Amino acid sequence: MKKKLLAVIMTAAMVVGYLTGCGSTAASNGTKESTNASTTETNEDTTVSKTTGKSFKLAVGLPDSGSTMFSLMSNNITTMVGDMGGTVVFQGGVGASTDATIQFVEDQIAAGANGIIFSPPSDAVLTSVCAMCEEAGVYWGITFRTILDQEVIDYITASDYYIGNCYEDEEQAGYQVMADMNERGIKNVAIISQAKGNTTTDRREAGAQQACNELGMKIVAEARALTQASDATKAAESFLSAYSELDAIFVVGTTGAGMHEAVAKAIEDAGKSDSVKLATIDFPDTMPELFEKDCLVSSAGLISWGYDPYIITMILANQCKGTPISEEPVSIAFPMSSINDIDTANTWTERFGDATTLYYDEDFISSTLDKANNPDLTLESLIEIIKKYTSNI
Amino acid sequence: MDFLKKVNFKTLFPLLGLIGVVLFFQIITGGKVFQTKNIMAVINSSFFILIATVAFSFIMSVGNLDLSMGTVMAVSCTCAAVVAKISPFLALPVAILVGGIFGAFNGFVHADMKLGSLIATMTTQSIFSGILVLILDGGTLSAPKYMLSWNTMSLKITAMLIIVLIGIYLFNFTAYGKQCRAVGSCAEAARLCGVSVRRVKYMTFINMGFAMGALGFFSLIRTGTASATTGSDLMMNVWCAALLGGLPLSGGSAAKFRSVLIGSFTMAFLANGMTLMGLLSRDKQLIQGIVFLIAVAISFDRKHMVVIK
Repeated sequence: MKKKLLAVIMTAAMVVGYLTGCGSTAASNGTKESTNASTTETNEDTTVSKTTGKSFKLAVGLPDSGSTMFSLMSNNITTMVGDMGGTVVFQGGVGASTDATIQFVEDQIAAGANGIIFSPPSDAVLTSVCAMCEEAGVYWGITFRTILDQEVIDYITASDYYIGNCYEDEEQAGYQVMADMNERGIKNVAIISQAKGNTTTDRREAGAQQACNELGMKIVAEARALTQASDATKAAESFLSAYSELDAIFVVGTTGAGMHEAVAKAIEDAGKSDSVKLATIDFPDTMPELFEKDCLVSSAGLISWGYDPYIITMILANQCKGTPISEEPVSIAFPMSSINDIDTANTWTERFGDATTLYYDEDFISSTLDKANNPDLTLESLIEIIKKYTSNI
Repeated sequence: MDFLKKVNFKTLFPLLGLIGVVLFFQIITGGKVFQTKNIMAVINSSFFILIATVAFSFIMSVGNLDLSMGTVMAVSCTCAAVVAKISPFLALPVAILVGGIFGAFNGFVHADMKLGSLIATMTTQSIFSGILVLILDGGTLSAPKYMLSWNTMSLKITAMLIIVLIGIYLFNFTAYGKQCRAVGSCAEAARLCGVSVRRVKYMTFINMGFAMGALGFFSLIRTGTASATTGSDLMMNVWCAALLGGLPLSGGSAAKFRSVLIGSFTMAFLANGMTLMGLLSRDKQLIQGIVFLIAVAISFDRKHMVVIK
């Protein structure tokens, strides 16, 4: 009994210590905030103007770590929100199910968030989220997803608390990758995608199907709703053993980290690197190596994966500060580019392969993206800023 | 010191754990835990876990486990979404009925086909997932929009109270509850005393199915959709709640109904407190894992296990 008691006390001490440590993380976040505040105090003439407007707290339903692209996104959003005088928390797994999405929104409303951003697993869940946010007076928006259900669009756009969505031209990306593969003589393709009903991958697949119809290609097999790299490995192994005519595996969309690399490894391990290629939407972290091995033939994506949530979070931050960029909900489509060679992949990696790279520096954020300091910022001028950035890959 | 010797630490630990968790987060979050808005969030968060754990406590007291609960909930939710298009008022009875049928199938595979509950529900979980994908055709189903207005706090609290009271009554004051624990303590002895072990096992799975059916309906009016991922994270939360509350994995007379309430609210306050603290998702997973490990290590009855497999 004494040993048990001792064991319990020690484990309890460990957990309390860990929690307190986490508390100090929160505290260190708090320190960061207070550091900003103290900076404001000590450099009144410069920084006071940089964080005008009320403070606010945002919640973003995306993972903050797991790969460079996640970290790049979270670092940029944290910097931008901090520069605008707010704080932000991240949570992964939110888009995995409707239950998880609703739980995230409920929790963050209770935790005192002023604004919420997430990527919904389906259109239908948005109605519930809209009702909850309206009741709580919390602004919200979505990222990576467009909305197809007109009834849902009508319902949520009527709300004063829905600020809009940023999404990518998914259909064009699906078509583009298939066309790139066709140029390499690839005809039979297996796809790895999300469950049907996910508007992003549904549209990407629609583009891929259009390419099949126009270019004489064929989707011979599919695997869906994979959440981790080991699932992708199993799916790829099944494709490779069951379909001798297979020319490529196209990772249309995933929610887990390391899925692209897992498929590439499965192809390599099966000894089919010469005959079966890989194509992806969303640039893999290891894109140059995959091109160098002649495994990857085409990858389409937004210039940086995190740029889409970055922009919608910036719009939300301005809304929460009481300086909205638009009186109506926005709907901004981002163009995707495809990369087909190692030189472009290397250039891209130099630019975005480091998670500490900032899309915009502190001065630009304060002087241009923060409407409290830049009353001239409108939806039109924001779109010009986006175009300028995304056209420069 | 004599007093300390008489105190059963194993019995007290879950309650102390709940009090400790609540106090810790109350202090660290500067008193946010007991704010009205947050209490509502805790009730929301504990609703699904509590109802599922009430039903699961009967399965655990028999000494069984259920891996298929989330899938049964998803199938019930899907069937409810299908019939809701005909008449929304049919959604709840159909969901409960479907849950009961799937629960009975679990009972059949376990009690009649003589498969261990873990293997039985692992296989049925796979079968139910296949049925789910067939019904959904790989997509999602939506509920009529106005059904979302049924998702009110008063309905949830009423449903929670009714189900908890039924659970307390069945567990503590009926022959069925006592028979569950008798079977969990020693099935052969219970059989010799005239208990129909097969019937008791069937009933626990059917009740679990009914509860999952009801939760399928509540999930539908909460999220507005039925999909293959509905209820996907329920099982782990329910297992954690049951073990945190002190329900023994080995079942039997040590199973107490208070464990259901303590465990469910500990889970809800733990998750809620970490959100209030603004912890990153990876930290939350780590902490939940550690807490789960501690709970199992303390509650696991090693004395009655001949071999630790």
